[in-house]
Amino acid sequence: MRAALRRALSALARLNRLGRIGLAILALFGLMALAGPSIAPYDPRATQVDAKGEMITLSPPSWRHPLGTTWQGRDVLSQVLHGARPTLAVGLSAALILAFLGVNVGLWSGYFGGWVDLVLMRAVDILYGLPFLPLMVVVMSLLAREQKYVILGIGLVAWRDVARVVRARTLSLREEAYIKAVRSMGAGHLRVIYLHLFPNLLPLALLFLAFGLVWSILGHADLSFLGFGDPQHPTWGDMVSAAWAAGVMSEAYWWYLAPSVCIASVSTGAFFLARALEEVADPRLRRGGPGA
Amino acid sequence: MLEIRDLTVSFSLAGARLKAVDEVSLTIGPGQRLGLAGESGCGKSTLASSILGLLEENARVEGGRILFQGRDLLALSPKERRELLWEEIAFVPQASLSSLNPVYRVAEQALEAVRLHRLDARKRKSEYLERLGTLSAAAGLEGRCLRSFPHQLSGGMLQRAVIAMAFVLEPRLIVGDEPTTALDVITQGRVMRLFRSMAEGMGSGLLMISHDLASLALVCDSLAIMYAGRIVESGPWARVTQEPWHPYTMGLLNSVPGLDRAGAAPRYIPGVPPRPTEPLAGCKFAPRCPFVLDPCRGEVPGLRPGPEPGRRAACHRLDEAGQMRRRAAEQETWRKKS
Amino acid sequence: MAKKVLIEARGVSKTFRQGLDLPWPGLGRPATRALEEVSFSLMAGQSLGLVGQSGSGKTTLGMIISGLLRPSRGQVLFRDKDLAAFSGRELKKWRRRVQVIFQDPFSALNPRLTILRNLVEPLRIHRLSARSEERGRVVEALAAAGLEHPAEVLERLPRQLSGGQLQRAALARSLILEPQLLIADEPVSMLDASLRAAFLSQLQRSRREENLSLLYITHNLVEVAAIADRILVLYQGRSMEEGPTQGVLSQPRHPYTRELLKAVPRIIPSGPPVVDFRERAEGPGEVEGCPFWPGCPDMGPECRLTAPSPRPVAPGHFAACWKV
Repeated sequence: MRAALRRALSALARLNRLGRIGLAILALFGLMALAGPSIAPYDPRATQVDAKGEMITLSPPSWRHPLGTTWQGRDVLSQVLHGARPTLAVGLSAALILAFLGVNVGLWSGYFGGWVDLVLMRAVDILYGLPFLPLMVVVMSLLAREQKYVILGIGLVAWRDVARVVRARTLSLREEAYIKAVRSMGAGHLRVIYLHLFPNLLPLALLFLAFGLVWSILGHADLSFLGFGDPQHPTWGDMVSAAWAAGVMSEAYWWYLAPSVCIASVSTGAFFLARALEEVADPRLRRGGPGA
Repeated sequence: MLEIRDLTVSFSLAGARLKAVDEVSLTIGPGQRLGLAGESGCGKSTLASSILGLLEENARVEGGRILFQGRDLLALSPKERRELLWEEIAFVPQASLSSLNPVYRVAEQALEAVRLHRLDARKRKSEYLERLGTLSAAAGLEGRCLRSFPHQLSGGMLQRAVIAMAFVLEPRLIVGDEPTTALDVITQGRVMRLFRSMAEGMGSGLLMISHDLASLALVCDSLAIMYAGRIVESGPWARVTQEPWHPYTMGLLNSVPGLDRAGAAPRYIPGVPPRPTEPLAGCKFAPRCPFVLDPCRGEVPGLRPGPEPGRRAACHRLDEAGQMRRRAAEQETWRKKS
Repeated sequence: MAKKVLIEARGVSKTFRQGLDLPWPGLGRPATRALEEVSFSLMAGQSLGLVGQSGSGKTTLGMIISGLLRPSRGQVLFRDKDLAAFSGRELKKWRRRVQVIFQDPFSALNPRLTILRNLVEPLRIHRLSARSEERGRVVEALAAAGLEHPAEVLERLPRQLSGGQLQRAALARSLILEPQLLIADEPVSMLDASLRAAFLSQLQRSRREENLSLLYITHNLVEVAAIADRILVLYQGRSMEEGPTQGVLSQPRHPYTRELLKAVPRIIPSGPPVVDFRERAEGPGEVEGCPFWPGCPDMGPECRLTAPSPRPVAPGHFAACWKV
């Protein structure tokens, strides 16, 4: 266990420059998610009034409101800071669900083959036939517009790509001599899958975790934009949606620019990290030893 | 035809520069078939890469020249070198399974090489195809093999196809790097026999690199032994193998299993070759040599001629070769001194 | 003290089919017949060399004996008990008795685990030792396999070792369970020629110390001469000849064995081998008849019709040929 942690840390240390930038970006927004509500200057839902008691609506960036205010006089900066937490919470949770599902299904499919593989892969194929947004709209309409359903929805639909790729890799790993060796030593199936196959898939799994984060955030932003987000926890996507609904896209750029930049930054950061992890995971380190 | 003079190639590892090839000199005349034998890490593949201009990024030629028909290969521009490759010098690499693109048929890839070198490739396509066909037939491959994709052929067939491809442009020199790894003895025999008959037929020279003396025996007429980046012995095959001069050669010959010794305990040289990170003063083989004396550890023996013409060895005790041979025949002599 | 039969193969056959194995004939895809009716028996402490070209089925047979593959037909008996009849628990206990050494030393150990962790795995699977003792047992096993400075190697990853060292580590891993049978699948073919003899010596030594039976799979007839008591020659899935090593090498009774012997490369004098025989077309073609008939100098009409089964030509020596 300790060795695995050590190896994970060394992998992080080996990230190239882009990867480090990505990690820094994600760390920054992670901090925002944790500390945002505490450092926000105003209540994101409170209407701001000026010295004369009038609502400050649609005001461009000023000293009092660095990111301006909304149609309803709410402080944009506070909304952005508050919006980080639900956005990232949903993103990370959904990413974890889809990585967990995808990796496990891929592992079992690839390792056992036969009927298990047949059934699982047909399930994946069926899922491919269901488009994400319409499905989510239906689900949200039937259930309630709560954050947990969004998480579940995204996680349950997006794991199919992960499963396919993990299955392919498992198929080739299964034939490696060291897997055969461990099986011939009497290791049970579960041991082989989780103790021997999975660690070799870890880089791939981490890669998909990063991708999953991006997919979830963007998918969630789409949903929020369409108005299907959770009104209790307004996210960045909700902000853009509100700006659009108010019809002030051409005038009040400050309202939707900030949340959009945040979404783009987190996505970019996650992609940079994913690319860097890919390089680390690449079996270029396979044949060591003296080459002539 | 090919003359390597005092070639030194180094590569960098963790900040230090280490020598993979150390002042190596070799010649291959037209039609000569030279086998270069040595263990992994002795520098033979690096030597081949230098000739072909395929050195890795962190490897650098520190000195020496590689003269091919009078032109120094190291001084050529990449464009000039590309023109030379395959036309005059062809390369048959190890593990041919990965040297062929799996999505193209074999014949197409062979023609690709032709297209790169001959402007008349398009016009004379049928001629080249025919030539390829003849070569493949000589390799024992049926026509359908050429029309197949790489994954449809077995390892042995692929290797033979790659060899046939190498000969299409009638190069003057073919460099083969471990061409028979992972092939069984029957296929090995077929592959090596193909090399030999093609080379003889076209008057091409051959440079065969391998760690396996047995496979080289099938095709070579001269032999050079490499150890820790240096050539330690060279000469005609029959002479070097029947009466070796260098203790390492003696040990290598001992370790080849033969039917005449079936059932007897295998003989081998204890110890391992020095790593490039541990520089040794004096003869690099000294730590494992059963005949080592003090001067061996102090001064590096140069590759020098001996009583027979055309042969050289790098050993301070060259004159006692006969005595050393007699003792080398006993495994006792090689037992590790603690 | 009568020697007991440790492992026996009876009429083992294996056919590989692409896609699902459907019970209806004619519905399946083209099949590859890897093994046809191969039988042999191995005594405790004895070693058998399994010799054949690529495609002879030798690796498949090794995988079947080790339990990693199931035969399509025939039985494998361990101490007179059919492997297919073993219960789950018996199977796990049996796994300790049979260990495999693979061809490629670079993929024989899990590349993400240290050498120590790799070698500890069999002990943990079978719960054979307390955590505190693990390290000591591993060092002992590595030393017994001839690895120099075993304690230094423990924390390294496989890619930091050379091929020769890795193969010894793999040997140590197989020995740590104190097996009764070792199956070695071309263990030296990926090692430098100069290292092969050293490894073979080590294998021989370990075998004698532990009184192990050995099934040695190779394509090199001469390699097996030093280490096997008996030889079984396979060609295209069928047994061609079986007998004591000296007997088979000095007086081969099957034409194919004679060709194999001619193919053994000689250093002095050098030159291409004189052997080259025609082989049956690769792929599903004729399955009747002796597989060697296209290349056999003594071929007769009956050879093409029916495949001969091994018949005795001397005590303990069998050849599958109509002409003996």
